[in-house]
Amino acid sequence: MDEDKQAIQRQFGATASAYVSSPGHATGPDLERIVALAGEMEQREQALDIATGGGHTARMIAPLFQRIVISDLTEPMLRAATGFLHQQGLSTPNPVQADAEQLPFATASFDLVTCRIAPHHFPNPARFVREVTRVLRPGGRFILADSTVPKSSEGAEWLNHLETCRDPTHHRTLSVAEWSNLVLDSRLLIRGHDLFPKRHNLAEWLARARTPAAQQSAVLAACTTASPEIRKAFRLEYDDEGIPVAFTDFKLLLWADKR
Amino acid sequence: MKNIGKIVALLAIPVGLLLGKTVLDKMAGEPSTQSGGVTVRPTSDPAPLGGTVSPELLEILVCPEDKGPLELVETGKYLLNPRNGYRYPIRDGIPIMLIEEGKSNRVAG
Repeated sequence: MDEDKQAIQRQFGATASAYVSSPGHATGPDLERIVALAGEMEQREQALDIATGGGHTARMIAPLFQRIVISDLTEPMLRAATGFLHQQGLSTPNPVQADAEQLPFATASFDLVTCRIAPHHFPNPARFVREVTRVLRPGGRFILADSTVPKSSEGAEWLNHLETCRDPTHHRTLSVAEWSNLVLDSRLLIRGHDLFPKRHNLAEWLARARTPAAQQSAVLAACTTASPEIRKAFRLEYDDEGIPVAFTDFKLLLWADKR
Repeated sequence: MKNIGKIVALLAIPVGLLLGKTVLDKMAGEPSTQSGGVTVRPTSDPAPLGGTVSPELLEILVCPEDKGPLELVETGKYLLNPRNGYRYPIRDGIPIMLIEEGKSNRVAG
């Protein structure tokens, strides 16, 4: 395994339970939309939630399917999610430790594949999308939810810098156009996409990732010195003393079907 | 400097982590085998080999490298790829399907 992925295992092994209890991961309009998009599917036998994290997406879609499989690169994360799903009454979440870019599932196994708030950690998102396409049955659906960067290169660089300061295992947040191209390259049919504004309280955002003090300062500095364009694009908020307290980015929800 | 102190103090309250710790403590307190066959245990303990994996899951698991079928061997402790000898461990009901795990538990022949 390359060093990037070992770093991800360390990061999320240490912070697993914070992701189970994180309100931003447990709820959200994107999650509600995922449930609606999954619920409208005609064939609902088997679903896979990749990089399940705290298990929140799996918990919401499990009642709609006969079976669910959850995967994650990190064993403690997978155990935390499994414990959470048991508490929620899901007896068989079928946990599998797996790399999203090298899935251990037979071709055409799933009616639905979901992946929410995770692909920005993947070193090779094109390979991930190809693997998702392979494990979907014809007519099956892929629902992707992740943060996005704006079209402007300044905005894209600023957000990726902020994310990398907060968590060095952050790889890259892609734009809507970049995701669309990856999905089209994999010969999936894009059915639609939505964008959801997502406000991040900086204190909570940094605490969840256990960002070290020096890196916290770098995040705050990036917010304090942000250009007027960046301040506007990310709706940066400051307190009375000029301390940055929050920013808002956009979550992409994209759904595509296999031919 | 006053402002920096204030924000650092704010950041020192990891509410989410505290909440999460309660969940972990609960898990550590009562390791219990659930109907899914996965025992919830403190993450510091190495999980024992074996455990229940549902037949439906076994049916679709393949080697992440060559995507070919696997055989459940050694009384359910490993999934073996007979083509290259890779053995994927099952730890406490969770198949560890990482290529390097399969490789490091490889059997000759």
